[in-house]
Amino acid sequence: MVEDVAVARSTAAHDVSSRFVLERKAFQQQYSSLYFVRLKKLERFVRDAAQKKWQSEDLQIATRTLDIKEGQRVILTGTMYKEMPQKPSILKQLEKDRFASELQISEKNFVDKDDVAILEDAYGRVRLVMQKEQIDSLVTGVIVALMGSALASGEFQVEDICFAGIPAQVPAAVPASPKPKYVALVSGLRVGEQDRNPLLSQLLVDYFTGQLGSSSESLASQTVRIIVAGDSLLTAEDAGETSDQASWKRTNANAKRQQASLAAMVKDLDMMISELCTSLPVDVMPGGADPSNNTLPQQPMHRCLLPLSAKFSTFNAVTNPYECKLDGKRLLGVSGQTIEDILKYTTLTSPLDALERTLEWRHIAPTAPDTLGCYPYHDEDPFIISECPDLYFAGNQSEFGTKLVTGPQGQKCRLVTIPTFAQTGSIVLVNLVTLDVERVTLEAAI
Amino acid sequence: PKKARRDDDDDLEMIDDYLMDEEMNAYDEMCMPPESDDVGQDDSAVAFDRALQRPPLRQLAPLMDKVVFQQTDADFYEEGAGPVIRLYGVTAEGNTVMVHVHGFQPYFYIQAPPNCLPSDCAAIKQTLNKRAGGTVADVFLETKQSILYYSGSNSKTSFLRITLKSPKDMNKLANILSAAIDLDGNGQRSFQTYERDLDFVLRFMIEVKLVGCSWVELPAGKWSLHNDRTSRSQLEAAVSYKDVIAHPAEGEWLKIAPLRILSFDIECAGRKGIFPEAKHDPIITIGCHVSVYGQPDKPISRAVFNLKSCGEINGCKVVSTNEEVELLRQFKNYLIQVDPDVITGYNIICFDIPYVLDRAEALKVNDFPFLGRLLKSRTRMRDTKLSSKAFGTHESKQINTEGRVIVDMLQVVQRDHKLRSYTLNNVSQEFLKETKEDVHHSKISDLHAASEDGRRRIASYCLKDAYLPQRLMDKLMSLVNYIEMARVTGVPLGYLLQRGHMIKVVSQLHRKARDMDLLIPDMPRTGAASGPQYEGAIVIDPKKGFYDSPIVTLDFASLYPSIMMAHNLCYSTLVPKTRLDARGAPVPQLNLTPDQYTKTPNGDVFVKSEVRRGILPIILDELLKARKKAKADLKEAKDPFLKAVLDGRQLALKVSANAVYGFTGATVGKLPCTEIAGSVTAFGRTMIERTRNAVQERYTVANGYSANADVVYGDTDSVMINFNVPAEGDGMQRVFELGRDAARHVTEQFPNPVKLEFEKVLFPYLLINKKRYAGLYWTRPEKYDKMDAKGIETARRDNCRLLVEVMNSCLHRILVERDVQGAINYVKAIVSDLLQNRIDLQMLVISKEITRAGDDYDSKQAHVILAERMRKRDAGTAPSIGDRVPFVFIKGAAGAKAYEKAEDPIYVLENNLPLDTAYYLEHVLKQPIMRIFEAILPDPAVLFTGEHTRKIAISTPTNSGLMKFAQKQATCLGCRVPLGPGNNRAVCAHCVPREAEIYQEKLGVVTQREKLFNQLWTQCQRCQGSLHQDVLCTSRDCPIFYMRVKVRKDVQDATEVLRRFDF
Repeated sequence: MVEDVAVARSTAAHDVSSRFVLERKAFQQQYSSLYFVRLKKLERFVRDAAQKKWQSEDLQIATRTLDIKEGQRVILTGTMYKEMPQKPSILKQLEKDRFASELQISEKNFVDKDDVAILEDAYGRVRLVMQKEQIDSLVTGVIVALMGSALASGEFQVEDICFAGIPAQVPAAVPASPKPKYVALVSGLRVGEQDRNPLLSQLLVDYFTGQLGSSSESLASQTVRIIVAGDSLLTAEDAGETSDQASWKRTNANAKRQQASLAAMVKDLDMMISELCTSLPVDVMPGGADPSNNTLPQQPMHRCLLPLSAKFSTFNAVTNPYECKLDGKRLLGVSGQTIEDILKYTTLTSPLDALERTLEWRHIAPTAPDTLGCYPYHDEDPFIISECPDLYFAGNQSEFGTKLVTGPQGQKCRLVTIPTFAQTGSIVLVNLVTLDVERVTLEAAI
Repeated sequence: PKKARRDDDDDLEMIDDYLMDEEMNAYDEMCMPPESDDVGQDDSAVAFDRALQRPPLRQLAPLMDKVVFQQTDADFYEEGAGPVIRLYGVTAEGNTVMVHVHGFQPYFYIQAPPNCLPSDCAAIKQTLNKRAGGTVADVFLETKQSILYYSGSNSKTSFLRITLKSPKDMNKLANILSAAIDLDGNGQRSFQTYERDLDFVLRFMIEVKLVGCSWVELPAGKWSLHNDRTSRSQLEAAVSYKDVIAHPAEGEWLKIAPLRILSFDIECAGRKGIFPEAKHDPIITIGCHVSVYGQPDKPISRAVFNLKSCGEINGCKVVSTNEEVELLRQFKNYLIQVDPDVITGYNIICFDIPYVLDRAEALKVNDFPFLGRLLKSRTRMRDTKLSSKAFGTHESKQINTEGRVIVDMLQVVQRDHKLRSYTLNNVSQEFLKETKEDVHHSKISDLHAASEDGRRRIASYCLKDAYLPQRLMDKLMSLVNYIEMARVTGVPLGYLLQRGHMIKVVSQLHRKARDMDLLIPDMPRTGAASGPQYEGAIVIDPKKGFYDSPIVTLDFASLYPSIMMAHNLCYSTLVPKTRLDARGAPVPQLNLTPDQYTKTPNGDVFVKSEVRRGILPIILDELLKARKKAKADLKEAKDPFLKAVLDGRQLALKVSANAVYGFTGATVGKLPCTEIAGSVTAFGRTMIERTRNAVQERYTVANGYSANADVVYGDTDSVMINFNVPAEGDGMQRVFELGRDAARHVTEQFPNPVKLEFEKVLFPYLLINKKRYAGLYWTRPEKYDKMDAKGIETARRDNCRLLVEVMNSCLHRILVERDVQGAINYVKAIVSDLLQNRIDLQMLVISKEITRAGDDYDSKQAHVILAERMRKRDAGTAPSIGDRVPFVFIKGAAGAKAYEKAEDPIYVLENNLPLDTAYYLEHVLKQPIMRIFEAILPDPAVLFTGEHTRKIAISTPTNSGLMKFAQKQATCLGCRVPLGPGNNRAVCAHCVPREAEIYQEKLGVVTQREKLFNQLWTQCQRCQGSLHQDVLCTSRDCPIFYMRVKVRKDVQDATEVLRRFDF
C-alpha cells in the first residue's frame, strides 16, 4: 500500500485571466463591431508580416481594397469571407422547413467546389481568384494580407497569402526548482454516456488521488493541477437537438429536457470532481455538451450545479476559452468547438493542424460569429491571441496530437489536442518546466 | 477615311470610291455630334468610357449598300408633305438606325352610296373637302365586304376608301360622315365608318407587312441619308414606304440584334415620415447597370451617380457631384452615351422616371428631359389608366423616350404572374430565390447625411437594386418573350406594355381581314360592361372526397380556339338574329340548307366553312400551326438564344390564340360579339358533358372492364375520371392505358381539330370543391412529378405564414406520406401551440399595402387604421402610402372589431402584448383547414375542439394600465411563490434542493436563444454582404425579420433571469 508514504504534492502559482468572463451581457449591438475591432487590431500585424515576407517584391500596401487599379500589383489586407453554398443557413432552413420530419442538420464538411473567397475591409469587398486548395485551407473571419493584382473583372488575383503569425512571447520566469511539475489535461468525461465504462472515471479519480499504486504514481503526484477541458457531461443536448431545430416556430424553448436524468448526471459529475478536488486543484471548463451558455465564451458552470465540488477551495469553474498563468507559464485552451468548426469549413483533417493555424492567424475562433456562436462584443475581440502562450490546447478532439511550435522570434508553444476521455481513457500530462508531454492511458476492463 | 478594299471587282473600285467619297462627306458631317445650340443637346460635357460608345458605323453608301436593322420602336410626325413614319432600330452590328418613311397616308372606309361609280369619286372628294377643309387626298371605289355577318354567298359591295393628308383629321372627317352628309345628291345620310379606329403606325405596319421587332431592309439605291439630322441615331435615313422590305421573322430573321439594356434605380433623401416628393426631396443616388442582349453576365458598364462624395466601388464608375443639378446632368449624359434601346428598372414608370423628370423641373434643369433618341423631343409624361378583366385597373404613365422602349419589370411581373406581393423583395425571392436587403427610405436620408461611408453604402445598395430588374428580365426571359409577342401579333414592342391585350388581336384581325378584302366596322364604344351577359363555363359538380385510387385527367387541348375552328365561329359566318325565322333557322333568302350551317347550343347560327370560311378560324389555325412548328423547331434548335426565341414564340402563339376568344367576349372591346363568345362556352359545356357520358358508358363492368368509371369532376377544359382501379401492383400502368384509350375514344366523337389529351394522373386526390383540389401529379406510371394544389392556401401567400405552413404540411402528410392520422395530430399540435402562445410571431404577421390615403378608404380596414395609429406614435417610422403595413391581431376588449385589434408586430414585441390566438384560430386557420379535412373526416370540427385546446397561455402586457399599479415582486423560479420584498434570489427556500435543476431549465432557454441570436444576425450579415457594417435591412417580407427583433429581447430577458442565480 502506498497510503503510508506521504507524498508531498507539488504546488504551483495560478493566476486566472478574466478576459473571457462576461459580467453583464447586452444584446442590443450587432456583430459588425466585433469584426471591426478584430480587423483594426490584427491588420497592423498582418501588414508588418506581409512587408517582411514580400520584402523583395517592393509592393505598396493598399489602404483600401477599393483603391486598387486594374493590373496593379499590390498587397491587400482585410477579413476573409467564404461564400459557401453548403453553409447551413437559417433562411434556407426556414424555406425548406415545410415538414419538420425532413429537417436534419448533418454534421459534415461543408466545403464545396463553388466556394468563393472574398476579402473585405472596412470599406468594401473584393472577390478573390485563388487556388482552390488555398481557399479550402482558409476560414471566414481570418485577417490576412494578400499579394496579387486586380483583374479587369474587378476581382483580385491572389499570388500569395500572409497571416499575422505567431504573436510575441513574454519569456516565462525561470522556475525556482527544476523539479518537474505537471499539468493534467483531460476532456470529454461524458459522465452519463449510456455505453460508458463507469470504471473509467473511477480510475481517473484513483489515479490522481494516488490510489492506483502503480509506478507512474510519481507523475500523478507531480501534477499540480488538472484541467477538465469540456464535455464533462453527456447532456440532453443531443436529445434536445431535434426539438430545438423545429422550435424556430415555437418561441417557448423546449427547455425542459429530461430533467431527472440530467440532474442525476450532474450529481455524478459533482461527486467525481469533488473527489478530485480533495487531492489537487481542478479547473473545469464548460464544453458544448455542458450546462453553460452555448455560445463563446462559455461562462463557468454555475456553483449550484456542482455544490459538493464548490465547497473546495481547489475547485475552479472557469470559462471556455480558458487562459491562465500556471507556475509562470501561460496556458490557453479551448474545449474544442473552435477547432471542430474550422474542420467543417476547410479541407483540414488534423485537429492539431487546425490548432496550429489559429495560432498563426492569432485568433482562437475566427469562424465566430459567422458559423460559431459567440457573444456580440462591442469594443473588443477577446479571442485575439495577443501573446504567444506556452501551452495551447484543445479538448474533445478526435485524436491525440502534440507539437512544439517554434516561432520566428524563438517563441515556443506546446500544442496539444486532447482526445475524448470517455472513448480513449487518455490523460495528457504536460511538464510545465520543459513543456514535454506524457500521455497516460487508463484502461479499465469490465 | 479609306473604304475597306473589296477584292472581288477591281475595275469597279474606282467608281465606287468616287461615289463613296461624295456620299461620305455628306455623311461625316451628319455624324458629328449635334451642335449644342439647343437645349437637350449638350452631350459632350462628360465623356464616359470610350468603351461605352456604340461600335463605329461602317460607312454606307445609299446607292451601293443596303441598310438592314431590327426595328424596336416606331412613331410618326407630320410635315408639310404629310405624315412621316419613323422607324427606330439597331443593326446586327449594334449600330443605331432611324428611318424616315415618307409617302404613307392614312385612310379609312365607308360604305359607298348606292350605285356609286368610280367616276363619282372626284365629286365626293370635293364634297368632303368642302366640309373638312381640304384634308382628303383621295377617294377610291373598292369592292369589299364587312366582316360582320354572313349575308349571302356573294355579298361583296362597293366601299369608298378615303385617304387623308393627315391622321389628325381622321376623327373630324369620320364624325362628319357618321353624323350626316349628302354625298351623292340624294340627300343627307349618315355613314358607318370602317377601320378608322386603327392606329396610324399600325396601319402603316400592316400595309407594308411589318410586324413588331422584325428586321427591315432598305435596299441599295432606294434610300438616302436624311439631310437634316434630328436624332442621335448613328444612321438617319429616308425612304419611301413602298421601298421598305419587311422580312418575316423566320429563319435567319429570327435573330435579335445586340440591343442595349439600361437598368437603373434612384434613391431620394426623404424627410422623416413622408414618402419622398419630387418637389422637395433631392435625388441622392442613381445606380445604372448596362448590358447587351444575350450577354447578361457581362455588363458593359456600371455606374453610380451621387450627391456629395462617395467611396469607390469595385467594377463600377462612381461619379460624385456637389450639386443635384449636376448629378441630373451627368446621369442624362451617361444615358445618352450608353444610348440604350431598352430602359428597365422596377416601378420606373410610376416612380423613378417621373421623379427624375419632376425633380429636373423643380430644379429648372431645362436641358434634362430629352431622354429619347430625338434631339428636340422633350420627354413628357401622361397619365394612363389600363383596365382589363384579366388584371384589373392599373394606373400607369406614358413616357415618350423615342427609340428607347421602357420595360418596367414591375408591370411585366404584374401582368404575367399572380403574386402575393409585388415588392422587388418578394418578386426576387419568388423568381431568383434571393432575399434582398431592404433599407427603409427614412434610413436612407440618415445614411446619406452621416458620412462618405454611408453614402457608399447607399450607392452599393442602389446598384444592387439597379441590377435586380435586369436579372429578373433575364430569368423570366421577358425581353425575348415580348419581342416574340410583338412578332407574332404584329404590334410594336412598346404597345405590348402600354396597352391592353386587345391591340394584339386587333392587329391580327386587321392583317388577316386585309388579305381577304374584309373591312372591320368601327363600333361605338360602350362605356361600361353592359350588354348581354352570357353563361360562363359550368363545371360538372365535384364529387367531393379523398380518392385513394388514381384519377385520370383528360384535357381539351386549346379548347376554345379549337371550338371556334371546329364550328367555324366568326364574325363573318354569323347569321344575325334578324335573319333567322321563327324556328331559329336562316331565312330562305340566304339559301342555306340545314347541312350548310351549325346551330350552336345557345341557338346562334353560323355557316359552315364550305359556305364561307371564317376569318377567326383562319387566324387561329395559323397561330396553332405556327405554334406546332415553333415547338418542333424548338426541339431541333441547339443554340440557346434561338431556343429562347422559339420558346418565347410558342408561348406568345398560345397566349394569342386564347386571346381571340377573349376579344369576342370583351363587352367594352373594339368588336364584341356575344354570339361567338357565348357559343364557344356553350359548346365547351356540352363537350364536357358528352365526354362524361362517353366515358361512363364505355368503361363499365358490363363492357368487360374491371370496374365502372366515374367522372368525379369537370372544369372548363378538363375532365377527371375515376376508373376505380386501385394503384397497387400494375394498377398505375393500367390506369395510364385506360387514360390514353379514353382520350382517343372521346376525341373521335368530336369534330376536328378538337382534341382530348391525356397528360396526367392525380393520385392520391383530394377534391375539396369547385376549383379547389390537391393531389400528386403523375405523368408516368413510375413516380409522381410533384404535388399539385389548386385554389388552396398553399402557393398563394396572401395570408400569414402559419396558414401556408399548416396547409402545406397537411397536404404533404395526407398526400405524400399518406398519413391522415399524422396530419390530424399535426393540426392538433399546431392548434395547441397556437393557444399556448408558442407560435413565433413571424408566423402570424399579415401585411397589406396602403394604396390610397386613409380618407379614401370607404370601410375601415385594419392596416389603414393601424397606420394612422402608428403615425400618432411616431410619425418618423410610420408607414405611408405605398408601404406595406404588417400587423398581427392582439387581444382587444370584448366585441372589438377586427380593425381595432390590428397592431404593429414590433410594438407587440416591445410591450409583450397578448396575441388574440383564438381569433387566429377561428378566422384565419379554421376555414381553410376544415375544407381540407371535410373530405376526409366525418366531423372535422374535432380538430378545433377537445383536450388539446384546453391549455391556454397569455402573455402579460408590460404597458397596460393595470400593471402601472402593480407592485413588482420577484417570484421563485421553481414554484412561483412570491419571495417577499427585497428578495431577488432565484428560488425560495423550499426549492433550494431543486436549484440545479431549475437553473438548468433556465439555462436551456438562454442557450437556445443565444444560438438563435447568432444564427439570425450572422444570416443578415451574409445577406447584406458585409461583415464590418451594421445590418440596416428592415425588410418585413423577410422570414426572419421579426424573429431577429424578438430574439434580441428574448435573449436579454432570459439572461437576466439566469443572473438571479448569482445572488
